[in-house]
Amino acid sequence: MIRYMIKNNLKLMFRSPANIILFILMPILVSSVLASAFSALMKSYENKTPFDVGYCMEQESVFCIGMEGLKSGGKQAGVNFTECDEVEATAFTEASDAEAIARHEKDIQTVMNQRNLNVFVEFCKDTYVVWERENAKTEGQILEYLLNAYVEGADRMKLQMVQGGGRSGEIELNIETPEFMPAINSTDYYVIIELAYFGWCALVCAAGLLGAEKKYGINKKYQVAGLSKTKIYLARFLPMVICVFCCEAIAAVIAASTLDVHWGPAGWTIAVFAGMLLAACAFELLIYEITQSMVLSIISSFCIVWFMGYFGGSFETYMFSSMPQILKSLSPIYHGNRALVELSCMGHSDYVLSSLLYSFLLFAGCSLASIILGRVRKRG
Amino acid sequence: MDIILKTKDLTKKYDNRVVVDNLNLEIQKGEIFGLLGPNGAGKSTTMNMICDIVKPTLGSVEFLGRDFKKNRKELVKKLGYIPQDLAIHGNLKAWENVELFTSLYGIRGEELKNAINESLEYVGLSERKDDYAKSFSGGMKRRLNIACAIGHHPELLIFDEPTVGIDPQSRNFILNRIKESNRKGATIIYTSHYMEEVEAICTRIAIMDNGRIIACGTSEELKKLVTNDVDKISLEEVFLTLTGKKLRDY
Repeated sequence: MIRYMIKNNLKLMFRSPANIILFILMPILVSSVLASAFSALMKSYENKTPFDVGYCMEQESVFCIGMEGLKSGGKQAGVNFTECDEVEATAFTEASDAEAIARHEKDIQTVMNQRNLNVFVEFCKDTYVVWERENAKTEGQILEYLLNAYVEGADRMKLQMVQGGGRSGEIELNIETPEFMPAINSTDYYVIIELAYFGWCALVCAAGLLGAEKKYGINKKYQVAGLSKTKIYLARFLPMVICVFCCEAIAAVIAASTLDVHWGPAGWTIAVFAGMLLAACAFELLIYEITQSMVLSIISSFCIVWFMGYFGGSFETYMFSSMPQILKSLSPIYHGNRALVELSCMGHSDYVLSSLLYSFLLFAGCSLASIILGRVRKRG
Repeated sequence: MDIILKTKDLTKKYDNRVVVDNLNLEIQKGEIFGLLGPNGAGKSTTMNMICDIVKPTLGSVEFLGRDFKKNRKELVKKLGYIPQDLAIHGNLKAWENVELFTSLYGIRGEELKNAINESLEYVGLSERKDDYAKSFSGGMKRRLNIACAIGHHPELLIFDEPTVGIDPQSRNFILNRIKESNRKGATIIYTSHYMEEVEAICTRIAIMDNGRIIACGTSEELKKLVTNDVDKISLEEVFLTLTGKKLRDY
C-alpha cells in the first residue's frame, strides 16, 4: 500500500514549482553570484603557495615552544618560516611612543625589502603581529589561518599539561591537514557547497504535502486505515529524498555543462550527497514531528542549518574561515562540504568516511526518534 | 436484526470536561442511523472514537461482534470514513486521490484500477477523473471525498456532515447515493445539522447533547416525545425542544 502513497506524494512534490525553483534554480543562481564575488580571492590564492614568511621572536615568548611544529606544519602546506634576527620583536601599546612605533615599522619594512618577503610575523611575549604587503592579502590570510591552528594546538597542549597528560618538554605542534590544502576555483567551490546547502533545506520540498495532510485532516484517514507510524514516515521521507536528489542532480548537470564545474569521482560524490540528503530529510522531519507546525519547523530547521552552514563553509570558505575547529567538526555540513570539495580538486578526501558516518548516524537516529515520537504521542 | 456496531460505556474526557459520557449505542446492520446534536454535543468525538482516531478514556467499540481495537487490522477494511474536512489533495488528479486513499486498504493492481473507476462513476466524476481536485467546485470536492472512502467496499460507512456548504443539486445527489449504498447493503452512520436531510434518509435517529444520547428512535417516535400530533411538528422543533434554544458557544 505504501507504494501508492510514495508515488502520489512524489507527484505532489514534483508538481510544486517552489521545489523546482528552490532546488534547481536557486543553487545555480546563488553559487554563480558567490563564485563571481569571490573569484578574485580564490584565484589569487591558488598560485600563492609555496611562499616565505619572515619572523622574529621576543625572548621568553610563549611561541618559542612548538615553533618547530609550526615550521614543519607550515612546510607541509607550502609556508616556509625564515627567522630574521636583524629586527627585534616589540609589543607596542596605545601609550607607546609614536616615534618608536614608526621606527619599528620602518625596520620591519627594511627587512621585508632586503629579504624579498611579502609577509612577516612578530612573535611577542604572548601576542603576535602579522605584517603583509598591500598585494599579499591572501598570503596574510593563509598565515593567519596557520597561526590560528597553531594557537589552538598550543591551547590543547596546555590543557593536557594541566590535566597531567604531558610535560612541557614534549610539546610538539603538528599541523597534519591544513585547512587551505585544496586549491579550488570559486565556481567549483560555491556550486558544490550551495548544492549541498540547499539540500539541507529539504523540508520545503515536503511543506505542501505535510501542510495539506494537517490542514485537510488527511492524517485522520491514515489513522482510520490503520497505517503504522513507520509507513507514514517512509511515505513522507522517501519521496522527499528522491525529489530533492533528482532536482539537485539536474542542477548539478546544468552547472557542469554551463559553468564548467568539476565534480570528483562520481561514485563517492553521489554517496556523500545522498548521505547528506538522507540526514537532512530525517533531521527536518524529526523537527516537524516535534513541533507539529510547518512554520515553526521551517524557521527552526533553517536556523539550525544556517549555523551548520556558517561553521561548515557554506558562506565563508572553510579554507579561510577562522572558526574554531571543534565547531566546524560538529557541523555535518562541514564534513560533507570538505569531502565534496576535496573529491573535486584532489580526487580523494579523508572526510568522505566521516561525512558518510555522520550522515548515517543522523539519518538513523532522527528516523528512529521520529517514529518513536509518533507512536508515543497519545491520541486524543 | 444483527448489530453491526456497539459502543459500551464509551467515555471521553479532556482534562475535567466530559465530552462523551458513558455512551451505549447499538447500530443495526442495514440501517441509516442519524446522529444529531448541537455544536459540542460530542458527535464528532464519538465518530472519532468509533474509528479509533481518538482514544476513549473509558469503554470500548464492538464492530461486527468483535472488539474493534483488538481486531483493527481486519475490521478496518470493512469501515469507510468520510470526514467533515475535504481530505483530498488539490494537486492530485481526481483518480490519483481515489488511488491514494483506496490503496490504504491493501487494494492494488487491476482491482485498484476497477475500484477507482467504480468509485468515480458512483459519485458522477468519471468524466473529470483527469482533472486536478483543486479545479473542482465545492460540491465536486465533496463527491470526490466520498469516492476516496468507498473504493474498498466497506460494510459500515460513517458520514460526518458530508453536505456542508454545497448547492442543493450536489446535496440531492449525495443523499441519493447514500440511500443507494444502503440499498446495496451498506450500513450508514450519518451526522448532520440539516434536520430535513436526516429526516429524509435516516431510518433511526439519535439526538445527542452534553455527551449523552437524550432521545433515540424513528423520526415519528422522536416527534411523539414532544406531541402526539406528529404532522404538525418538524424534527427541528423536536430537536430544539429537547436540547433547548440556548446558544452553544464552544
